[in-house]
Amino acid sequence: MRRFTMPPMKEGGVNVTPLIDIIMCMIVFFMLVAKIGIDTGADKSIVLPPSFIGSDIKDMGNTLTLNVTQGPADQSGQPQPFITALVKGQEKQLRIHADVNGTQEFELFNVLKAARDGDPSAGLPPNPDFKVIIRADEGTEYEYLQPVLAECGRAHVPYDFATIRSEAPPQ
Amino acid sequence: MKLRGAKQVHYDSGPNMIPLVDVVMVILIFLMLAGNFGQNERYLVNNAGFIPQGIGQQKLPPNYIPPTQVRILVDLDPASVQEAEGMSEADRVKTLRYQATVYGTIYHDYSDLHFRLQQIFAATPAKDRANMQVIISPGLKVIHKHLIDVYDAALDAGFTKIAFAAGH
Repeated sequence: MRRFTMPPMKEGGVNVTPLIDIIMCMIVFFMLVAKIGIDTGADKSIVLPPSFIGSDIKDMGNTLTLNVTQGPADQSGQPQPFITALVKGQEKQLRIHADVNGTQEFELFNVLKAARDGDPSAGLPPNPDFKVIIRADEGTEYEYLQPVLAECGRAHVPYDFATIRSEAPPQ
Repeated sequence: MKLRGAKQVHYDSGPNMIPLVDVVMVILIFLMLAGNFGQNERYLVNNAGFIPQGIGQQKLPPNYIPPTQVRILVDLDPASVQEAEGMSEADRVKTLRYQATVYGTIYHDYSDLHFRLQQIFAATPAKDRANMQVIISPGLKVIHKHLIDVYDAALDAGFTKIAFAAGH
């Protein structure tokens, strides 16, 4: 009986199989680690203060990120913080209080209250786990931060501070 | 001179992998550029709850025991305020220092404040520690960086309930 043998293989060029293996591993790694399309509304221009004891927040779904910087004074001459947040998918400025057509509006309080206690008119259910992440610039003076903390307290919403990881305690 | 090998017939085994490598490389580069690796950010978790007085007033439960309060007054170091006069905002933030007052003693650096808070925490009976509350009372001009330092010191000393008071 005649034996059939495979023709001798002669490949030209470089063997790319190990390259593909490594690249596939890298793709799987990046797909697992990279957070693509997740926008918390964090203002990247804010310089966060360093902290060596901060921890990670696993569930960012119940949080609202408030960017706090020093804003201009209001009509009465009182310094007001400049607060922005991602509300219903849109970057919005939230004022502590604003005079709208002769009535006092508490924009930040209203947003926090609606998020925690729910808003039936907007179809928003109550969320007792709701919390706020305060991203304040490291140079923000307390007189600008205090009204934000007070509004969180008034709306019964707990808050955490965003910081940058530091390897060692401050000197 | 003629090369003999160049005229030999090549047999390719398996599918052509070159287009696959091209596409995979494009995906890899996209993931590397578009990925948001914000792992450098950390959060200082606040477990203070709400002080049932003033704004946000709540009804007290029947067996309510008010927490033991450790008050930390935080102010700017007057010498550093003078040094920082006329500086740019970035330099001012670097130059300003704080002083923290605990039970009447002023602490100018983190390690001394941290040590004092550790002493207070250790001196408290274990059963009472859960009901201890640190109240940070900052001056209006104290900057956020200083508050985080004091917050860090209190957390690292063992306190879990840390609240902020109105500025003075």
